[in-house]
Amino acid sequence: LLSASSPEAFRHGFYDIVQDSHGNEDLGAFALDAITWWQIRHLELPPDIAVMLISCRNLQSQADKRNSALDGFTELMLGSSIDCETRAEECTVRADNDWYLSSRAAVLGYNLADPSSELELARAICSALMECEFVTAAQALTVLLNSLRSTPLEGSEVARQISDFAARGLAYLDGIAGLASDSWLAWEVLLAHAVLSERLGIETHL
Amino acid sequence: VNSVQDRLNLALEWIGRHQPLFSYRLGQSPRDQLMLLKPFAELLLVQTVLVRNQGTRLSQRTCCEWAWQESDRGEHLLALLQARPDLIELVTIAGSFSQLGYHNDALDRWLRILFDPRALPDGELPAWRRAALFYHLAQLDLCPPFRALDKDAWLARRPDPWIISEERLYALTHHVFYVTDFGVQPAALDDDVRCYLELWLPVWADRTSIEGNWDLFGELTLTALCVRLESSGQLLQQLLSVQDPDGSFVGVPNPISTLQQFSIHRDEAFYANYHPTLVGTLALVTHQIVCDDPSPDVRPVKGLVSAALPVDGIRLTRDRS
Repeated sequence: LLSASSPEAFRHGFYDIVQDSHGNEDLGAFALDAITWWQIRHLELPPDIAVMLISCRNLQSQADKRNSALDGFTELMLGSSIDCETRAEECTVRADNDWYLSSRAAVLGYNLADPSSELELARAICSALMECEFVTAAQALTVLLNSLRSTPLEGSEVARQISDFAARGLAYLDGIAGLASDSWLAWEVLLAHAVLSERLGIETHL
Repeated sequence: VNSVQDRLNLALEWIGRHQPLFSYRLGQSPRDQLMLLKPFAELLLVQTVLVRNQGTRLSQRTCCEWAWQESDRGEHLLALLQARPDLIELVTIAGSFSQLGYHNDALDRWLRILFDPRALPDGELPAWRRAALFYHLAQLDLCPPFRALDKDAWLARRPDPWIISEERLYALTHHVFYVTDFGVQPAALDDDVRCYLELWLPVWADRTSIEGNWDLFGELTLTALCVRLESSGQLLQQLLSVQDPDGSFVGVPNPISTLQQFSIHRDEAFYANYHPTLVGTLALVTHQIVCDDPSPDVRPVKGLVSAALPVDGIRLTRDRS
């Protein structure tokens, strides 16, 4: 799916996964991540894919509401065409009494007040790394790298330090993923790599 | 109690009520007295900042006079430094007394011999303690004023911000205090250092507050004020939220304070809370000093959205431009 060369190829691949994902949480999650990746590459989600995303999310909601809510946050950060406010509200409600979701949503939601603030996102990543919430850190790093790609910071000291931080953070997570043999984390790190590669204008090594 | 000045007064009242407990003479043996020099030295250091603030300058004279008498007008300090010339940390007390205008000629002469720059045993000290040493030596005119980070300091190297530890945070904050002369010289830190602090100090403070270490949180708040960080107002507001109605500030959860074992007055609450209260007091008075002198030579860190928050109606001003 990741190697899809056109929106049509992506659709075909995506449908296959959705059909296979009934009752399989991992496949559903993979499909959602693929859409995230697609969004990162193309910035704009084709309308029919957006509809499918909702279907897929509903499907996944039954299996794992937490992931669904978290993806809502990711989606929100990426500025997709889905009703962001509704999703945010949903995420917030679901975050109640769920420490795992709360901690991750707090990091991803760090940026809600000002979606353009790379500074807050970088701080959220730093906080997640200090808490050893590596998956969260990787997800937020993907969003930060994407944000830096679409709206590069001005050539200030802050921009330089955030950019250095993102590169160092990714290298650190690379190391953690390698040591942890955690496929979920590895996947999130790969996504971040994909964005970084695109930001730097070089071929991804995925 | 609403204003920062009111909160400061409250903290000072707590310190005043507990003033006798800061005495190192509560130790029965010379060894015990040496251990109890820590709170005594820290109280003196706070006084050196309080006298810079118009609102607290005069009221603190009584406390300074008490400390000078406790040290037998410097004679006891001289005796200590003669018996233990290796205790170079004692220069912090001598430096504070000097800055407060108290001098003992014999002590000054002995200090000049002891702290000859060619024979200074500072090589094995951590960077922040070297900074403290030279800060106080400068107060005694035994070395020129310094305004630079040690090359081995955390802030000089600026490693990945997520690998910092509690111990390193304490060291980092103290390094900033001495290099900036407790906020008088915020521009002593280069732009890249200030930017690094602007970026990551709020995260460290956040983690520290979650862990309930309000002592370290106070140190970080004071650091933010010394450097004029955008986040300082918000941090101070948060620090004020944990000030006890009696004026004290809570410290670390389940403190393992061992100082009371050296004192005949085994007041556990005092020894647990005196340090965070001194730090909180320093943060409050530094806020007042910053408001009076916003240090126009400190430029805001470029690329940051201004987020200065009012503290009890007082807006922290970063520059006049």
